Amino acid sequence: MKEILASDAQVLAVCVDPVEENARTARKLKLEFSILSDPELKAIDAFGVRHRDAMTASGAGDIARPAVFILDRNGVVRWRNLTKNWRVRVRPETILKQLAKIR
Amino acid sequence: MPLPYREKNRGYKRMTTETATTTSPVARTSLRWPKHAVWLGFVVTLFGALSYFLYFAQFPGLRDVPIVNLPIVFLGVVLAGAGCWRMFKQGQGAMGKGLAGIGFLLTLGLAGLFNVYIFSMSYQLPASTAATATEKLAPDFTLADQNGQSVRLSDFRGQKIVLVFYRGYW
Repeated sequence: MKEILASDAQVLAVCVDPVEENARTARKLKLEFSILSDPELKAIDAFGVRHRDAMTASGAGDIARPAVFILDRNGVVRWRNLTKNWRVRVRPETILKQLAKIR
Repeated sequence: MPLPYREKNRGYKRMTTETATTTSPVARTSLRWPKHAVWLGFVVTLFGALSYFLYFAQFPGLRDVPIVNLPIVFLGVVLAGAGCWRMFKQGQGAMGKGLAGIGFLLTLGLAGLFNVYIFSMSYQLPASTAATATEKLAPDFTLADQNGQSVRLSDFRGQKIVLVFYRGYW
């Protein structure tokens, strides 16, 4: 994770939780990147990663499915990973490798 | 004074028949362990399942394939099963057998649910749309970060971006 932050890439996280929840999470996990709050699922829909009526700890609702997109310096999507299994997350090494492919 | 031979014999016989129903400490333990084993098995399985979510899932190596928690869950089922089987074999009362059976079924059910979650439910995700195929310009958006600041994606032009979508509800 540190290597990704050290590289010239910017990491942005998006989820449906409200700003206060994200703040609490960022503090608790000492996250060094921005967590963006998207309760209305605007960005989530724009990127097509809405997960309708997902089962979560606090009941069903629309959230995002786990996904990682890598954008190049012009904002073009160069790589994406939409996990088939939401328990398995993308490893930082994979992201680093993909980032290295972009100029 | 040593007992007459016949009485000695009778005494020995009485001892063996008494072992099955006597309340000597050894016999008590052999009657109790199956009952304890069933509930212990349930607790072990419950622990295996809960500790996965509460602790072990943090470690990617252990989360993807739960090599720690699956054996624990399985062990619980074995314990409960052994205890239940023993209860039935020992000819316990109907209540004892019934409870043991319930305990075992509960344990099995819990282990089953855990396995369903691990191997099946996590795959249930909606199909992705073409909204963001690769080589296309990413849609722009403006959202608030954890400090309440407005962040716009296109502000980061000139930088590579790793955009991570989380399920939320941490």
